[in-house]
Amino acid sequence: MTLREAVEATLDAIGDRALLVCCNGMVSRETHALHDRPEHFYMLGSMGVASSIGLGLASSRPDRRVVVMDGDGNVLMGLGGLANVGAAAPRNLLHVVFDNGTYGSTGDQATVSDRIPLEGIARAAGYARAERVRTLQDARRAVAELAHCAGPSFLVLEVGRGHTPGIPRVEIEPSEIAGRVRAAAGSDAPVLLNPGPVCVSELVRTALVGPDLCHREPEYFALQRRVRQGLLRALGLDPARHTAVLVGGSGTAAVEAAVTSSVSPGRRLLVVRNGIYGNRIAEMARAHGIDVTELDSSWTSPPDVGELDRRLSADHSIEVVAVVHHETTTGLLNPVPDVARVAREHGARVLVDAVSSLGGDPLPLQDLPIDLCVGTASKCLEGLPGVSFVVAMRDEMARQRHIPARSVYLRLVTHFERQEADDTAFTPPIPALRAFDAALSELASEGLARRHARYASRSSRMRAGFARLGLEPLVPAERSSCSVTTLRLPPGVGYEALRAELRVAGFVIYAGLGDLGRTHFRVATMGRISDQDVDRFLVALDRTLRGIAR
Amino acid sequence: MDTSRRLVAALEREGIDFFCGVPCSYLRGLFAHLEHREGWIAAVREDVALGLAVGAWLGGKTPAVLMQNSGLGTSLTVLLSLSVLYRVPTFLVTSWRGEGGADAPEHVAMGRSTSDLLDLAGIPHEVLDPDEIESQVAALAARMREARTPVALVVRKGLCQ
Repeated sequence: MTLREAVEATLDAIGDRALLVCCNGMVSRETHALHDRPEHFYMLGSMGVASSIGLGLASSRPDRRVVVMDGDGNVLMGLGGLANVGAAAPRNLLHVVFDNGTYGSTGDQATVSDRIPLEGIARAAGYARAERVRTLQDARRAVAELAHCAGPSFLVLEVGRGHTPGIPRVEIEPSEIAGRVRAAAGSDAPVLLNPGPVCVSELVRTALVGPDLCHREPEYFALQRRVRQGLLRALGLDPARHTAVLVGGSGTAAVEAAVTSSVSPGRRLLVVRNGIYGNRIAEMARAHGIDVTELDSSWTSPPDVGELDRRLSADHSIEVVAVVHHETTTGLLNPVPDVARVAREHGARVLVDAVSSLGGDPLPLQDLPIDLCVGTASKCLEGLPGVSFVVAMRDEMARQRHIPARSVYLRLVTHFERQEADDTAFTPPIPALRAFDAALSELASEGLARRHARYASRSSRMRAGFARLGLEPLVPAERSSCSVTTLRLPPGVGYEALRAELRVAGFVIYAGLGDLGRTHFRVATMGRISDQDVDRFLVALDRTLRGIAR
Repeated sequence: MDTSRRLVAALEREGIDFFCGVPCSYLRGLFAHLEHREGWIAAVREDVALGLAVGAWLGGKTPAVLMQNSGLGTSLTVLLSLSVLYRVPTFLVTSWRGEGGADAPEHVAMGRSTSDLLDLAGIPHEVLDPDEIESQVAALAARMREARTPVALVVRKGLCQ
């Protein structure tokens, strides 16, 4: 096989997502001429260190497949680098060597690779797999195989001497080559420390794209069933008692559907209000002509459950009690179990906005009298925005059938009945559902308890760092969620300057809401962020605060 | 806090989150702090270390490379045609063996040339002042980030041993 054929076979077999390091000389030139992609790092000089660049990239991006395309002269010049690869043993690295026994770009002088079996050296250096193939057919098979198994793998492709006549040099400006690889690897994408949408796994991101599909065909219904059942399973709920109703839209859409579908004409809604989101529930109800009464407490205090008891005793027209589990406004966690029990004692239905808490903070739905629990895909459940849901008790859905519609799109029972019949009332957000399906299968393998533990540990790590930096949290630790912290801006530090500096450092933070906008900022630890992300953020925050204060 | 610990802390505070290198007795104290750090790679050669740093930067990290100044010779090609040419932010920490000619003979020539070599390569550099560690590291790191360039901190005998 020719070098060109071998390069082409390799590019075909490794797929579009792989990050590629091409050694200097003909390997880079042939690759660039065949198919240029921003994921390709073309070396123009520095003979011998392609495997080292590959190792640095593979170990900093364990989520991506990294392929090094090397030559025999290059490998021989940098044999020491193989020892570092073997010692670090990155599972995501494939090292392909085009062995033609010559230094191609200097005039085809002989290397010693005809007498030195490079795959034997790689094996001895600790590569997990090492093989040599001689035909194009074997090359295709071997690359495809090694590109999908745990490495580090080493593959020698024996190619003929020479290269494509007149093959041009790579003319891209070197700093641009580096910059575009970094961007294509998503290494420039910021770490999202806002309270959703969150950073998601590679699996969830790639699940977004799938074949064209119609939402009135069996393949869509299968997806819809998987998501609805997956939700109940992930939350540990019995499908005989609970059901999951999907609503296309943000979490707010599903909250509005639950609010406006659950209160009968002439009856009232009581809203526990200690933040922007509690207030929003009251606004939704009023916009639809529902009579509302509020139980207010300050933004940092839980509601007075005794007062709730008195209000429900005094006012029998209250049909539904609504409460926000996690007030994203501040990071305050409301005592939902207490509120739900008191409400139920008075025969009221319970509606919980758990949009920003489900998956992050425990809420034992199986043990609590919660009739409607609203969530969304794009926060602690680690999917993407566009799909939200209501986990409802089945008898609540039966009850809602008798409440006249206040909205067409947001009438919950319409969604419920159509979805139960393996149908959909309106065009669903198919890509978001695909991503949510992947996110739920990840949650199933992680387990809800472990997910909660991960959120608890991440937020403690972050808060310990805030304490070291002397930053003052608004909400006391015992009332805080495991995902949002509101902090006072230190003297002399404006939010916009802080946000902009941290954005350059690769992190997105969030402003305080309402009156807190001038004095506070928010940091969330939702989504796929690592301990290392937290540590790096704390370093950047420290540096930024010192810089601004100076 | 000893100088080595302060230097590592200052680098971390500037967002350096990938460390690799080849040892030098002048940098023994730094290695003692870094060798057991998660992700540390004991590079087999200085040019390999620079290659690792480039890969790490492509992958979203901010790398530091530790080496003896003799390693500047070993890795000169890679320093020029990779780190500098591709403008990869890399925080180099090199020793200054052979400073003033008072050292083992194999270090004298490189000791005389260390500063000139970095100048010729166009790499901004400073000699570490133990009283100014944090501000020197902060200034070099700012230059590294803003100009997207390798920078170097040169460490004299006795400071990080």
